[in-house]
Amino acid sequence: MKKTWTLRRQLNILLALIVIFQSIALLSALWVSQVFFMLDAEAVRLLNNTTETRSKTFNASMGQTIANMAAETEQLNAALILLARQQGSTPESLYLSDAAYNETALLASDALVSILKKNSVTGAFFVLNGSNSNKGDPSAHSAVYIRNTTPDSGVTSNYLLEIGPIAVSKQYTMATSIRWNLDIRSGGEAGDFDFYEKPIWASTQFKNSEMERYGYWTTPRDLLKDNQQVVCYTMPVLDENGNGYGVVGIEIDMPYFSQHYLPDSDRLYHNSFYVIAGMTDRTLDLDWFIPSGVLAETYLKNGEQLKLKSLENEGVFETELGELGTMVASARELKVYSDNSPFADQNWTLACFVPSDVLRENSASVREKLIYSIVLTTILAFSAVFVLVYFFTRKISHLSKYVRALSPYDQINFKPTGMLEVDDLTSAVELLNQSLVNVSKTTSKILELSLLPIGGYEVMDNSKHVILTDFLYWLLHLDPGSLISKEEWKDYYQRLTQNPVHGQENIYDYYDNYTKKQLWLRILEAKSPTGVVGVIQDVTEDIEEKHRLTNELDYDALTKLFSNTALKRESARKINDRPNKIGAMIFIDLDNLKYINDTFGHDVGDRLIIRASDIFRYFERFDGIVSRISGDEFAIYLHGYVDQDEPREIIKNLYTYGESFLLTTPDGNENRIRFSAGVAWYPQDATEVMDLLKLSDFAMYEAKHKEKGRLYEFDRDYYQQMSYLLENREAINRLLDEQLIRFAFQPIVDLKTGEILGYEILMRPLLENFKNPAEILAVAAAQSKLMQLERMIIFMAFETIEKRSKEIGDNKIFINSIPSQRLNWEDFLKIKECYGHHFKNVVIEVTEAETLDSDNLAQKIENIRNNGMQIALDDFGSGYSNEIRILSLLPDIIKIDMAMIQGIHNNVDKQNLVTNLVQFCHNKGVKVVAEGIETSADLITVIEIGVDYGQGFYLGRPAFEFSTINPELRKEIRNLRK
Amino acid sequence: MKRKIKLACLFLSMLMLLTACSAGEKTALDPKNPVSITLWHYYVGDNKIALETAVDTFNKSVGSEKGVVVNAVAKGSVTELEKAVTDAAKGVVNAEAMPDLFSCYPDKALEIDELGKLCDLNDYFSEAEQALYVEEFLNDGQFDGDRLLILPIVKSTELLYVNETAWNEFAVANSQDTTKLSTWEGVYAAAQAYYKWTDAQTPETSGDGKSLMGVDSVANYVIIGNKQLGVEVIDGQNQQVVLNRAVMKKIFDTYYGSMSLGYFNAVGKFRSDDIKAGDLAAYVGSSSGAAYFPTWIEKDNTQLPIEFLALSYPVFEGGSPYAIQQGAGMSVANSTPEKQEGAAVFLKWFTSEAQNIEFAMTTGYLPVQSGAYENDAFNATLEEMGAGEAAEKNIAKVYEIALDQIMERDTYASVPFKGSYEVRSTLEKSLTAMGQSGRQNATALKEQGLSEAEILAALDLNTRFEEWLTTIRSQLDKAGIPYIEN
Repeated sequence: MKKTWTLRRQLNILLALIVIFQSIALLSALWVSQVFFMLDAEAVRLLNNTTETRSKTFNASMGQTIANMAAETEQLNAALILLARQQGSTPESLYLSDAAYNETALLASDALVSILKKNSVTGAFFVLNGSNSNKGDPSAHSAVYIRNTTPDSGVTSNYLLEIGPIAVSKQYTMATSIRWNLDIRSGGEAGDFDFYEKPIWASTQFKNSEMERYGYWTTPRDLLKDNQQVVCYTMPVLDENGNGYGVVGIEIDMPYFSQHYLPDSDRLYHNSFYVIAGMTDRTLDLDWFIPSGVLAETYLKNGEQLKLKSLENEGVFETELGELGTMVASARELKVYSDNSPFADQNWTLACFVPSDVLRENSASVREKLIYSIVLTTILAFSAVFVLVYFFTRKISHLSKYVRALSPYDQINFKPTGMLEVDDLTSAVELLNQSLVNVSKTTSKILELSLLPIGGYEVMDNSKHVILTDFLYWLLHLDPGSLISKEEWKDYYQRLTQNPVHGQENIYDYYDNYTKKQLWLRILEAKSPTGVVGVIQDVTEDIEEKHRLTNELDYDALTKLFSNTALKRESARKINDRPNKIGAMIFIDLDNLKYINDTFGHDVGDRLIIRASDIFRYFERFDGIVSRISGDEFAIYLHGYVDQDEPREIIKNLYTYGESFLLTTPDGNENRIRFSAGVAWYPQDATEVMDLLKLSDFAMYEAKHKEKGRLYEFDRDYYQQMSYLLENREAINRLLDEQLIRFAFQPIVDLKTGEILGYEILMRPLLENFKNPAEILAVAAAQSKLMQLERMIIFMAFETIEKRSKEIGDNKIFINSIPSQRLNWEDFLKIKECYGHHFKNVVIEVTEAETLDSDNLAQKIENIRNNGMQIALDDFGSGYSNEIRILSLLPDIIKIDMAMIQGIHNNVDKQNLVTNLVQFCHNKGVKVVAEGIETSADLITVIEIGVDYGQGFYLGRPAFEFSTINPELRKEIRNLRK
Repeated sequence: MKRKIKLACLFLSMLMLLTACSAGEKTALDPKNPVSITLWHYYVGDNKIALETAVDTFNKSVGSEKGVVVNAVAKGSVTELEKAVTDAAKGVVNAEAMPDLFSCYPDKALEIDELGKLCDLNDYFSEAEQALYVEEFLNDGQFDGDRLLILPIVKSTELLYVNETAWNEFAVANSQDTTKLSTWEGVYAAAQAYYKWTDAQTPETSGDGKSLMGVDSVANYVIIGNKQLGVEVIDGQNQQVVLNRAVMKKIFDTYYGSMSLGYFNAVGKFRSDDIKAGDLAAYVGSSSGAAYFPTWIEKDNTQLPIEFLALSYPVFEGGSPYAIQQGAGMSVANSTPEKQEGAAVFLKWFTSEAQNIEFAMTTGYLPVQSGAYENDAFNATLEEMGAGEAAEKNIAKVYEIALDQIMERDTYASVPFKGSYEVRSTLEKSLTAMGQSGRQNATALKEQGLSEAEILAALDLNTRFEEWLTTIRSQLDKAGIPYIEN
């Protein structure tokens, strides 16, 4: 049962579901559209942009610095070449002379100061190939190294001479540093002097290239051993031949590098930092790195290989960094070398690290707030739903309470709810109620006026009385409207239902004592929640009508004779009434109904039937039950005789009686009405009506087959002989369907050599219904199943040959074919395709048959021969007139029927016949088989006559295995041949 | 959006309230959201590196714990730093933003404070904390009674640096000894003798004598000379300049005369550079430049090793043995509570004994907490230096003198008043200019073959002195600085 809930509850649930659904839909929409994460993407984009801008600024700035340096270096190169020429020396040996060196140092300082002025670098230096002050020391190099503490101020007064002659200090009023020196020394750790060696090496690799190509960046190092980490960039000083003999370089110390090139102002997120380091394949190589500040220094571990995980955006990565947790990094490769630089593979990558949670802070907080908002609004919506639904449904609840309290007799007066639909509904209900009252009155009146014999009652649990309609008062002959108590009603009800009609539900036989009338009532009762309600209808007229109709079913509509059922019932009744009398069941079949139907149509056929029925009404005079069984079959039962003679006489007279009945067909002919009839006797032949019908049917069948238009009495012997034809109608179908036969093989022996020529395949039924192949053939013929049988035999035979081809070897296989049947073309092709290779060993035996169509047979034989099979004519001489003509078809083999062979040894006629036949055949080249050789004497005779092959029990019985010939028999045959 | 920000603010403030309650100590700092402090300083070379190293250490340790990140920006010289700070404080067009923390001399602090840009450090340093500093040093940063505007970072004094190798050569040849160098009069005489002796080394060229002496800070020379002779030229008490003619004349004559005659000299940027070039054999300069005194000098493009002798600052005869006490401290700019507190946190850390000693000793500064002087590590380091390499020995020698001057003798730092900063530079520039013009004039006279006495007469020291005073007066007038003459 469907659950019923209050409106309030339903509304609450419905609206709550809507709210929930809406929230879920909102969440899903937000989720699907990824709005939640758009801010993330924006933050990442911003980070990426900042890094991009920074890298571009860096590239531009460094590019400018490198260009400036290149210009200064080239200018210095020219100046030094000129100086060397003036000194009558070479650039390479400038350091050797004090004067030349001083001049060199001053020229170099000019270049360095110019570089310092123009570029944002913290130092510039010039290193020569040898030392002026330590000429013999190969590790010492004269150098000028100027540092500028405040590159951004443009003030030169803060220059500090780290290395170089005091002349330079004086020239520029430049302070000397604490570690002021004259030389710089190589020969520290390997690679420490790369800033000198690398650019010179590059200049030897690519002579006369642009200066930028030789430039070389060092990694951060403490170049001057003063705890200051610096990054340097150097270019070679070249002579006129492009040979390097010194370098010009710049340095950027780490604090300035981070302040100027990786400024704080860029970083939009706290706890973020820049770092410059080498990066290969998503790994930040922290062997060296330039940090932007304390965070980078704290969290990046020197020498570490920091693995980065690629994120969606190009150049954005993720990694774990100690306490900072997950960091998002935006990385850009910086361009610090020309593409053609030999050092171009040294990667400088700028990476900006931001803690993931910081980057996504905004997004996360938006998400959080959004979720809170949704939850909050959902809760608010729920409360609103509950409150609103309460107020909304209050009026309706009142309404329903009011309706519940209403009694059916109260005047209905709904209070308006202020809801249009509900008020409409209530006024509609008021109207409906009014209409109902009217309708019930009207219905009652109409029922009354219609005079339908129907009435109702109601027994209510909570009432002492029973409510009856007017009809019941009338039926029970009570005063209309009088109160009937439940006890009284019980009585009445008992009376009404005491005679239920057998086989008809809810119908009661009721005899009205008052009117003395037989009535039939239909009484239906149903339980109602408050008691029982019932309807009582007077169905007397219906029942009577039905009885009449039932009667009509006993008669055949066309002939008005008894129907089959009536015949059986009435006959049984007669036998039952007087079982010791003799009765006859006559089964009649019209002979020419089919012809009439086919020729003139069914109307004429019907007239024939009616005309015939008139004949058979003859038996009505003898109190016979005349019935039409079906179509053209009629059955008559006569009963109540003391012997068979009297009824036999009556039956015989039927034919005489019927002669006068003619049917005029549309062609104008007047046709005799022919019929065959069979009789079976009670109790001689059978005692049951069904059996009598069956046996008389059989007798009629015999008549039909033997002499149409005659009467046959049931013959038990014949019945027993032929009954299989009737009984096995089903069995033959089963046999065909399930291929319930098997083959036995009977050897055919060559009477010249005593060897086996081949085997005849003999069909054996596997169904008990059939005793022998002849019965199968007979039933099949009777049921028109010969074609199927032929097909089955041929297919099975070839299957057997195929299956047992090894055992058969070169022996011939004789297959019995039904002469009147030919396989259709399709089947034949199938046989040929599957088994064509066996055709040369196959001999098809055909027999004579009564309805032989010799042309058909000739074609069949032709076809068999054309396909390489041989033909044998079976049972030759068993007595048909056209044998000789058959012979003219020239089969390959003739099989002489056993009737001509058995006892041949002492029958001269048979001997002569066979001798002639053999001679005839041999003349035509036809081989002869003697069938049915069962004795040694017959064998001897047959051999003497010159028959080619023999078959028979004496030579070998049919067996399911391929038998071999008995050696003694073979010996006997061979001896006879001699 | 605004609502969101409001919400976020509300949330944050509640959070802060909560954390503040739980921490129990009121702080505006948040380790999760560190405050960035910009520090401007005038340190160069090794001092710069040392400061940057210290800042780095701070950022990684205390700074990261408390939420302070200091960015140190070198502003070159004191002059540049002070100009940048002044411009920033005044809000000059194109000036940089005011730093949160900067190196500052008292004179400058006073000026910036007038603009209302300085933070009273009393709010951040408890009495107990203040008591840790050498009182005298702390006093230098106190104004208007008790407003602490400068926290001392390191201090220095001036002393006499001598190339002992050169001196000894001369002393042995001329029977001189270092006691002569204890007075300015002695220094003058020795320098005269040195010039003559060196001139005589090359008989073929006359007038090519070498200068013995140099003065790094001419202003200090004038101020401390006045003080030695009992005059406070910058009279902070009375907010005026005192020009004592007698004293000033003595100071002028010594400097102008010796500069003109080539006894004194100033060639390179610093006198230590002149020592390195072999242009001078001695100079008065700050102890903080100790590390700059070379262990060798350049001679004919090669290195010539020298010995070093540190001597006390010379005193004018009859004067008191005052030596200058100087050194910039650091001031905190008025900004947000977080920044001010962050700056104070850094200062406390940076001036704590261990840190302060390490920084100070890079070049020869003196630590500012009294405990430092008794600090074992400090003394051990001094001893170690004394036994170390030449350069370290030099520093140890400077400390010996500097500590002696600070501890045993009187050191003096002028009490600034409004405009007193101008006075220093007026004194410095005017006397230096006088010296240079004297040198030029004398060189011309020398070429005419005049003797030293004749040259001095020709130069007319009295007139030149008046000229100098006139210059000073006009400069002071221009700057609106009151002065008296007596």
